[in-house]
Amino acid sequence: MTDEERPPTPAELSEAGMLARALEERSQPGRELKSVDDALGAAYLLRASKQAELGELRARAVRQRIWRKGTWPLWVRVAAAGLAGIAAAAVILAVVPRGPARLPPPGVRLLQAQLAVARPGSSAELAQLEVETAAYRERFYGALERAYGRRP
Amino acid sequence: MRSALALVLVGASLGCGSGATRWIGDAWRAHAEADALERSGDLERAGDLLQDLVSRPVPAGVAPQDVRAVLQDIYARLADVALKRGKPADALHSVDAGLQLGEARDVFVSSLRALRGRALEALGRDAEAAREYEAAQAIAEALLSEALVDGGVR
Repeated sequence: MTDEERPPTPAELSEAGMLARALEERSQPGRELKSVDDALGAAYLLRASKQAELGELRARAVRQRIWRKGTWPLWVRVAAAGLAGIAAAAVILAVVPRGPARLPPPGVRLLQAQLAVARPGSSAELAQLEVETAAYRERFYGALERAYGRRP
Repeated sequence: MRSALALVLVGASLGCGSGATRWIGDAWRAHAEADALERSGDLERAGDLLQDLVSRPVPAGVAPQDVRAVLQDIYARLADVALKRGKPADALHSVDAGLQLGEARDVFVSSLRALRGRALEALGRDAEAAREYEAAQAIAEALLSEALVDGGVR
């Protein structure tokens, strides 16, 4: 007769009964802790730790929770990066002094008008100087516009 | 992402008109408004408008040579308006403020020198006026020679 064919001993029957009761009564509060509970607890812990392994899907979920990479659509991120670049360039352009504008050379008529008023009692020539100065000023601000951007 | 958005906001505020562009635009508009005011005979308001412009801080992004040119042009116009209003002392004050920005051989300094001569002449300081006229002529003649060599009549 082998060990498996031998009938259970009274001790084994008692242990099996305790195990069955423990499985049925686990959720009852205030139940007296028995030795079989320790064995069951260890078994649950082993099984839970095996289930808690960080598989590929679980790892991806954890990464996404830590770093919300996919919150913004790709086009939004690309647009934001582009705008950030433009903004950085605007900051640089606003703060760093640029080279001087290439100012237009004065015309002959303006210089002749300036010469005409650069002498005593020259009030009669002032009107022509005003006309020539206004024309040059238009070209001057045009050059500044080309250097610094369109007049807002 | 937050820093990118912050930069976008900064850029947008700057993009609406950088300091340099806005300053130059304001100067141009002030000249246009002063033109209209002078035509309507309101010389006082034209002068106030130009004075307000030179009182403002100059943004950092404008090259010093351009700052000088813009401000000397405005100071020259302020002096001209003051002379038209019969206030040569004010004109002299504006001219001197313009010349303090620096000397150069260009139309802006030439104009200021001629205006200084007119202001001094109006104040009865003829000898000083004559020196200013000579200084203005020297610059204008040199520039005229260059312009004639270049061959352009503008």
